[in-house]
Amino acid sequence: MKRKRSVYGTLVVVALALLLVACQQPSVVEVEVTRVVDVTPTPRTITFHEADAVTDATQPHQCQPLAALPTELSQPWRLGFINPNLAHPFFGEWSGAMKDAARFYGVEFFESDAAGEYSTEPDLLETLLLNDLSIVGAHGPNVYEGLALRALDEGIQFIGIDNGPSEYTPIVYGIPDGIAGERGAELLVEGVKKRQQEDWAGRELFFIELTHGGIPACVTRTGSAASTFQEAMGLDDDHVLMADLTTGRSAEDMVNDTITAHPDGVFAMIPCWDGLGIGPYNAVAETGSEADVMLVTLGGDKPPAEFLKTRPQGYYGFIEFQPYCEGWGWVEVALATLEGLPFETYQVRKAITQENIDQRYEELYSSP
Amino acid sequence: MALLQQPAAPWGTSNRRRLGRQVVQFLLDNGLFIAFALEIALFAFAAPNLFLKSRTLEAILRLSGPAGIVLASYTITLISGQIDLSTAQVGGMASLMFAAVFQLLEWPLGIALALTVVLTIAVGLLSSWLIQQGIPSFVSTLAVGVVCGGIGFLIINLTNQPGMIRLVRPPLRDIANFEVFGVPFVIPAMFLAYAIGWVVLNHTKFGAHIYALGGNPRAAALNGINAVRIARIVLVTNAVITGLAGILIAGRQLAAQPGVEGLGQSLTAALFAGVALSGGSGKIERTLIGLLFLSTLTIGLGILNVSAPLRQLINGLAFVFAILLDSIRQQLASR
Repeated sequence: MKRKRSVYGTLVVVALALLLVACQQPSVVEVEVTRVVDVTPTPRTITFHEADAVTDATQPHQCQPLAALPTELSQPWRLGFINPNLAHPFFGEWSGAMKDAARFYGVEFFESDAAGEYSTEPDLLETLLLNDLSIVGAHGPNVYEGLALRALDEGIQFIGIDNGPSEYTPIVYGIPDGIAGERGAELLVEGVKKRQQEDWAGRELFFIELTHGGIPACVTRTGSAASTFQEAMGLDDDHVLMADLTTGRSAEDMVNDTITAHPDGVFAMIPCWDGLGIGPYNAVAETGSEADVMLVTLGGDKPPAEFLKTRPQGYYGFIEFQPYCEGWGWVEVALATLEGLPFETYQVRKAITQENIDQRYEELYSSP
Repeated sequence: MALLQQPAAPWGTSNRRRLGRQVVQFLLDNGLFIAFALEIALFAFAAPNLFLKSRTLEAILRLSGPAGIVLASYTITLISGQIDLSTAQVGGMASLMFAAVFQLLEWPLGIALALTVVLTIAVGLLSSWLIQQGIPSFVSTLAVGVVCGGIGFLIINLTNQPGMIRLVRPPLRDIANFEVFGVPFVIPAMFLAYAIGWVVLNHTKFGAHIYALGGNPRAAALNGINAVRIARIVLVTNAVITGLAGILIAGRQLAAQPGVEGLGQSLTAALFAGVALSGGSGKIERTLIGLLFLSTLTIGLGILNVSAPLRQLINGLAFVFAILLDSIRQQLASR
């Protein structure tokens, strides 16, 4: 009897256990699909930075944006640039503008300083590349092609400034050298014609192209100025002279020698950059021939602006390249390239003379 | 009290002095390794995310490559008692000569290389001939460097090029950027140059003669060592290797120009590694550490975004320190 009871008890326990296990089995639910709903992702609203916002953000330079960039970029891009010389006023402006632009567009910016030694740029690039850059740039007339090739090895694009074209850099950015030369020549023609109605009336006119044959941008820039000036003033080839730094002689010596060789002549000069013209101008002034020269320079950062404010007799003015806007524009072009968006060419807009230098100087340099 | 008034034991003073000398000697012998380890630790601590990466090591080696190949032969030159100050100009001249023949005249690569090697051999022979005339090596190589710089500019002027010669014609570009198992070939080439230098210096009669000549030229001459011949071989080899390194650098930069930056730090690296400026002592394998120390410094300072003037100051101080080390070593050796 006792054994029978224990057998029944065991069977009940087993049955209960089986029931519990059965209850834990997942239940199969059949769902009948009666309607299919089309699901399409909601398009992301893309807003772009307004041109006015860029102009406001770049006060007092009032840069025009070169690309309409989205307020939210597709990736956290990392930009790198080897500045040729942070201590140089022009390149220093680039640097400040690039940092400001990177902050404005919300991207990281890494910078190296070659301190005037272009030959160190390959080494600096190696360090810069450690930052996992999305794009890199540099200014270096003799080294940029090697830098571009090295960047391509790492799978990133290279966008230089004022380097000129190369098979390794499909994107050429910077001062439109031909146009800049033309603008400079037009300004110089204006000044020379005024003087020809005054103390230069009847004097033999020469044009001196101050250039650096080793820098393609210079060759284009001053070459364009020379041909524009020659055509506008109707000069023959004998009256268009060149002082090229690649000869190893200083611009000061070459200009003084030219003036000595033509004692009755008057001389209109355009250099590739401001300093290349102001140095010889001062050298001529020291010899007492300041009245025989007229200078228009290309670049227009703080030192030439300060010099022009002193109203030197023969320094008619300069074409302002607006280095701040050029630096700002590099960031925009780099980001537009990364985002696959179109961008415009950088333009040279401002001609500054002794008439408007005070106002321009006030705009750029008087704010604290 | 009475004990305090007793004079110090004489063995204590000499012991301290001996210990001091041993410490200085230890630092001179191992200071480079300690400094290198400290340098790595410092940069690793300051920028762990960037410095402790395999890419950083590759960047350091990539930076060291061409200079390292030159440094291997430069070390042998220094040990033999010759100071060659013409490396940057010889490298530039050779690259321009090569570029003019290979790129502009479009002659075959082998002929361009052969002509450049002939030119650099002539440079080495000129330097050694001037030394043979009794002019100290640092003066004669300085003068030869000026001549080489002039030849470089002359090549540019004669070929009517804008300050440099573009060097983009294949296959040089591909050779200069050739990789072995994903590593730029210049890195194994540098180690190979060191291996050859090590064998020459430590396992050949010629190497023993180089040490003997650098250590005591008069004694070496009395023992029948031909000083003129050794100086000639060493200087010619150095000029040829410098020229080839110049071509390699130009090939990577796609431009040949007068004066090759980066070859000038050979002297600092060698002195830093314990090669005596007066010749006769030094180990080639240590100069590799000296070079890596300087390359790490360049990359590390760049990672830390140290400003260019400060970088230049630090590099200058490294050179001063290297000269100072050499001076201390010589003073200790003369005691």
